[in-house]
Amino acid sequence: MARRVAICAVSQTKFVRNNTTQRFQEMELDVLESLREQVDIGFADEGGIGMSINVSNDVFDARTISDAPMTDVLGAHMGCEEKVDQDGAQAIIYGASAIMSGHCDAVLIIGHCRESQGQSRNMCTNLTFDPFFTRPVGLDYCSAAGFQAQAYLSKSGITEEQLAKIVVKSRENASKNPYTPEAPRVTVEDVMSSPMLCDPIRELHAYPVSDGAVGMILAAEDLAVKLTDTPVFFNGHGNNMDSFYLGDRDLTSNFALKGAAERAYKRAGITDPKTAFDIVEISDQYAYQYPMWLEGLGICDEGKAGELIDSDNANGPAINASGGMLAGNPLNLGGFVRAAEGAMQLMGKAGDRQVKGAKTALAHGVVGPAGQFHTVVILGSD
Amino acid sequence: MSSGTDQKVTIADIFGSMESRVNPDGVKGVTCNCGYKITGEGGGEYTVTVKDGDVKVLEGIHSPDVTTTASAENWINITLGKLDATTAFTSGMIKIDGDMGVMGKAAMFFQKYRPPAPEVTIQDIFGSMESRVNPEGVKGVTCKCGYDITGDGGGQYTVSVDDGNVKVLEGIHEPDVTTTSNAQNWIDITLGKLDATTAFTSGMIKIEGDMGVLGKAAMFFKKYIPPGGEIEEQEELLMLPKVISVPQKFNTGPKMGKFLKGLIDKKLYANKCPECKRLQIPPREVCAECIVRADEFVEVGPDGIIQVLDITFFASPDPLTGESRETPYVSAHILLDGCKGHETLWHELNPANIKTAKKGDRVRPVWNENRTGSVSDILYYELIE
Repeated sequence: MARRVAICAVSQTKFVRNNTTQRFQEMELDVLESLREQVDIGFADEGGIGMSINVSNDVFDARTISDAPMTDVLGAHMGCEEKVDQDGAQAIIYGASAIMSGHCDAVLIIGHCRESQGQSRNMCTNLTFDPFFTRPVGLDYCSAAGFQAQAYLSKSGITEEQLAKIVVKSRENASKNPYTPEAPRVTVEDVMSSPMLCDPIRELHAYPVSDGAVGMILAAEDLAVKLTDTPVFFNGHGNNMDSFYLGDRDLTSNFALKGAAERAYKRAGITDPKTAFDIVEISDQYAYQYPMWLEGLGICDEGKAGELIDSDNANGPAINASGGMLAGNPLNLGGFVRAAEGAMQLMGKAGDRQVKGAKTALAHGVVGPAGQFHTVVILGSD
Repeated sequence: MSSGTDQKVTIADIFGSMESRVNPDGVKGVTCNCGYKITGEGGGEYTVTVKDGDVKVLEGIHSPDVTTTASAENWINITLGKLDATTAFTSGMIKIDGDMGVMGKAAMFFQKYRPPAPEVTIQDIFGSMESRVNPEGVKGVTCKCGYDITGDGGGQYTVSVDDGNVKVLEGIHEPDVTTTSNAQNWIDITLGKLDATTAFTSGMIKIEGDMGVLGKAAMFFKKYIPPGGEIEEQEELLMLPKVISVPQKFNTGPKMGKFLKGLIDKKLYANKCPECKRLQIPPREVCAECIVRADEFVEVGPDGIIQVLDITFFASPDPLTGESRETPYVSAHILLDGCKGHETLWHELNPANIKTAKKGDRVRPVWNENRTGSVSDILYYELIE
């Protein structure tokens, strides 16, 4: 039987539009220092942090091997150092695997991104497309999402008002989240009159350009219980990759998300996702994704997300109590921040946004155009 | 391009080369005689005799166990793999009389026939250049590239490009850059058997003059096709030239930022680890060895001594402009006054010092008059005489 793994400490910076005062190294350094204040652990192959994982992206950082300049601040100098790109939630899976297998007792994971650094984040995501055809036609993650939004709204009947309500709710929740200081509250009218980016996606439907960093320390169960009174256990995960070419996909099928969720639920022993979680944190890069991902995860039935929005999900789990990605965090940290938020809730350290008595959480991450690659992580206080 | 006509594949060569192509495993323990009646122009009669693995090819038919009859053209095509032997047999293009079992074995007697290699000469490579000009590659270009091809079969040539107009002249005439190579290496590079960069870096070819011109020269001509070298028509596949560029603004933060701002005032700042006291220049947020913030700044230099230096001959071009900096240039790790161990700063040295600079020499910075807070605020370091 593999060892159990727990999150012992989490930390994040504020997510802001343009951090002009720090290099990304120092953003991560703030996170590292905060983590080490929370738990008393050093760097060591046995009984300490035996592996450091950096979550970063070469294109956003505009340098190859984007983890290379991070080793100093990660404490990874002369240590075991790894990098995860894609969604940061993958780093949790990577780190947990190293502990489960017995290779390491504890793992440090810190990720960063400055979406403000390049002239446009869309220029960055355009580079993920192939240089022969889909890049020159001008696809980026925003324009790709436009296609999916059109297809999904037409299938689901989700209205423009409902999309606006999602943003209003996100900003309301974000007002209690100290890490999203630049997500002011808005009205349905504000959202519905905000400029159109890619029909039907409006500016306020899109997650804000964000700079920031996030981190956590994972440890084997026996070490974790010594380090903290509030370990949050990693109880299962799943991921799933859809086609690279948008034209190959059924954009409304949610195949990849359903596949990722199914794997995670099986591993975590979850039979009814509607009742299994106190906390659900999803990576809603665009407002239409909020209902779509909830349906894919089985948090509500297919075609019922509109009702969930209108009823404010009164009887279900707390969904994006943090404000979600719509309140701001960089692309490649989506699932990582969601897991950090879930862990903070289960630790009882979520401040004004704390959900009382929360014991189980689902964290969801997604990268690639129009939901190509989904990751689901299941956390529990036992 | 199809130019199979130059290739001299003959029935005489196919049978004549058989003894040198014997496959020992295929003839092991075999004893038989196979006759071949090759008809039509260029034909002939042959017998392959195998005696317990010993192979002889004789002219004429001599008590064969099996005899194959085919036209010379069909037999050449079968030998070159252009015509399938079974198809040829079932369609009546070849006839077989006698013991078919022996024929089955005969397919394993010999290793594959390779037609005589086409002769590639330096003369043909340079002589065919004017007919191979790539209009896109020479557009707007004016330059002269000399080639000194040494050794057996060598020669001297100058490729002269005048605003896109290409002439290949014998002899070396006022070249901007001259490439020296022996004939065999140059043939191998032309045929793609030898990588030009590898050949250059390993000293197999020498280049003197303007390297930038040579970068353009790679695009002057279409591929050289040796006489008879390409039998199959090859589809020309497209290559898309693209530049990847996302304009960036890199925030410098309080450590690197302090260092860069210091350059404006002709000051060099290192930061000091509060624990191990080592200096870092340029400064970084932490001391990696002690895993602590290093907030204290120390002014060092600006003079120092060369700890290690190197001359670069091949500068990588700027991807946006395609321009390369001037080479050769010499750069050094400089131990600034006030620093110790390997607390060194990288910078360029004055090109005038290239021949004399050595480890241990004292150097001082030459400041740019117009300083903006960047690495070029120091033009270079120079020797203190």
